[in-house]
Amino acid sequence: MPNDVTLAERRATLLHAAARVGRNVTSILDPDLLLEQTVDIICDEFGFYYAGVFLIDESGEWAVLRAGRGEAGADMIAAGHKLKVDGHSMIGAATGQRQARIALDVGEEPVHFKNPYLPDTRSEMALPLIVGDEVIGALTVQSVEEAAFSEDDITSLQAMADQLAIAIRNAQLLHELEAAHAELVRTKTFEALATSTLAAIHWIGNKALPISASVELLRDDLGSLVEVDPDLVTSMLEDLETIEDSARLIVSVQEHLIGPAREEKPRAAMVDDVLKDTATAMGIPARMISYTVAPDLPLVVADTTQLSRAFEYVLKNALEAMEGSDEPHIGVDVAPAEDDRFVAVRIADTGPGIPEEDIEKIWAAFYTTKGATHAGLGLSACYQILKQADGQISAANAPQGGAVFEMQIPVFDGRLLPRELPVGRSVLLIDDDDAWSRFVKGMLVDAGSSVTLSRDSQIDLDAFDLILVDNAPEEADIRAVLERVRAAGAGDRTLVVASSLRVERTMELMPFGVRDVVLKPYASGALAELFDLVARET
Amino acid sequence: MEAARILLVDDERLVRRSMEKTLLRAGFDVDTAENARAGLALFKEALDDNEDGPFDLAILDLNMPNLEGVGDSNAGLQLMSKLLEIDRDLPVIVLTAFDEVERAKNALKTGARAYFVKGREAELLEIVNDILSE
Repeated sequence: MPNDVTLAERRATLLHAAARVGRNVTSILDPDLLLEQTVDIICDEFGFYYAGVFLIDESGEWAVLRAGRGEAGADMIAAGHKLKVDGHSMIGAATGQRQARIALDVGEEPVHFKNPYLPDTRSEMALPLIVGDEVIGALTVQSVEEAAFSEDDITSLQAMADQLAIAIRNAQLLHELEAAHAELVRTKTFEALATSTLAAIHWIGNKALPISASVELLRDDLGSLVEVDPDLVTSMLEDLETIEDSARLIVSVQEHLIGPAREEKPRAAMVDDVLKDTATAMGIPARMISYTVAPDLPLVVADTTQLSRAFEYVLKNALEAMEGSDEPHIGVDVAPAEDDRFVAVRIADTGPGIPEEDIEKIWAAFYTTKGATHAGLGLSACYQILKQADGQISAANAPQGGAVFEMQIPVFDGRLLPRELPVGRSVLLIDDDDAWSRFVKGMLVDAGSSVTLSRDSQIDLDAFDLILVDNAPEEADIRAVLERVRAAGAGDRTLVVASSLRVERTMELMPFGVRDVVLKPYASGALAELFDLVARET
Repeated sequence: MEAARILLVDDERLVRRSMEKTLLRAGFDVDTAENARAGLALFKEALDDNEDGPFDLAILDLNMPNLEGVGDSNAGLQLMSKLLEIDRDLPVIVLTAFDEVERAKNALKTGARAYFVKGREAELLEIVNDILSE
């Protein structure tokens, strides 16, 4: 039992150490850094063997170890160490009953210290972390000395724990505030721009059009002046290039603003099919991209044209990031997300990754790290498209290098009204043997129609009531296919099906005399509508 | 061979002028109008023009003052249907800033030969040449 003088001295020492800890921790504003450094500061100031901070999780049921001294702490965090709030552990008791707990190894109760990560502990104190009325977690401090703590020490150490609790809460609030602010910046900046009226977009397009046309005319004129002053002409051609680049940027801004502002037409869709079609339409060589698609993937709900646009932005971003790379490769992984209301699409590249300081900023409109030739709207538009679809997108760097974009797209949870498909029809499907063509073939055959799957149109087209041509076949040349369709006079019974409808592509294919260019069906109802479409009088 | 005669209707002066110059340099004979009403008048006049003859092709903006003189996002389609009533074989290219697939399909289904998104003029000449060589 300590005498009165040493008791007073000890208390003063502890209070001083508590004050120093308080001063140090309140100046750290990053929540992760704060927790990490706090345990070291406490151990150094008080000479403890170990200190650890537990925070109560969202469910309020568990106190989860968030920081721990040294290797033992790191190992326990990696193992997901957590203790039940109000359970039998000291942390459980401290968080449940809002009171400090002490356990001392005086030879009577060695059972307290059976943690294999901390074999030398002989005394432990658990202190609740309280802000106002709320317990946010608990602090454990441990010593290698037997009977290292007394009831008198509680006051000094609890004072430190209280300051620590406030510091943690402040850092959390600041972090939340920053996150909310960043969210506000990305959505509000974009919304303000995207809701610009269509008239404004028309205006931008009209103003940009004469710039590039005039540059073209001037370039022609300069060609005839080369002999007069070659140096001057070279310099002027360079200036013209600058003007032309700027005009091109303005046009691309216009496109990016129109894109996400379009009206949404969500429908059930096979997300892997939309993604593959997008990559094929972009001309990404098969050797540069690989897909891992989970079996029995549920349908998602999204406007597939918009979704394809979002995929295109991410893929384009990946291609640009890998420019100059020796072995450029895009790895796509499609699987149910951890939250089973979503399907997760991960697109990983072998580029240099995203600088950590930019990882939150990339979603803001007009933010770009690619220099003045980029408007910085692609990923921002992507973010907006996913948000409109009630999904989300995030970016990270893979441990092995390269950036990974993860998009979560809502699972289609509505009921698809099954529609009866026509019986006894003969359908030609010009497509690769992929998930979509197998799906269509399966449904039509089940309904009693016959289906021929062909990679090209080198067969007698007269035999078919309906010809469906995939807009983005990996192998077939769609123009050659449509030429044959036209030559055989089968255009009226032919539909080009695309997972996304783009004006240039549609305008390119319609003149082949096909009945229409339409969205790909991913359900029986949408498939039945295609029969209605070709049956309709022209 | 005589140069093909093109009617270009757009309400934006600078757009009209730069496109006119692009077409003129490519060797076409170009007449311009700034709205649907003036465009229709020019087209009708040309029918009786013994010297230059009628137009071989029309390039029409979609969003401009219509035949009643009111700003209309479908003014180009309205003018196109009038022109096709007069000459059902007239090739028409619809021109607009709106990159909208349904509008484009609608323009094609109601008689336009092609739909052109503003900002890609090199392609415009290609489209015009393709259509006129058919």
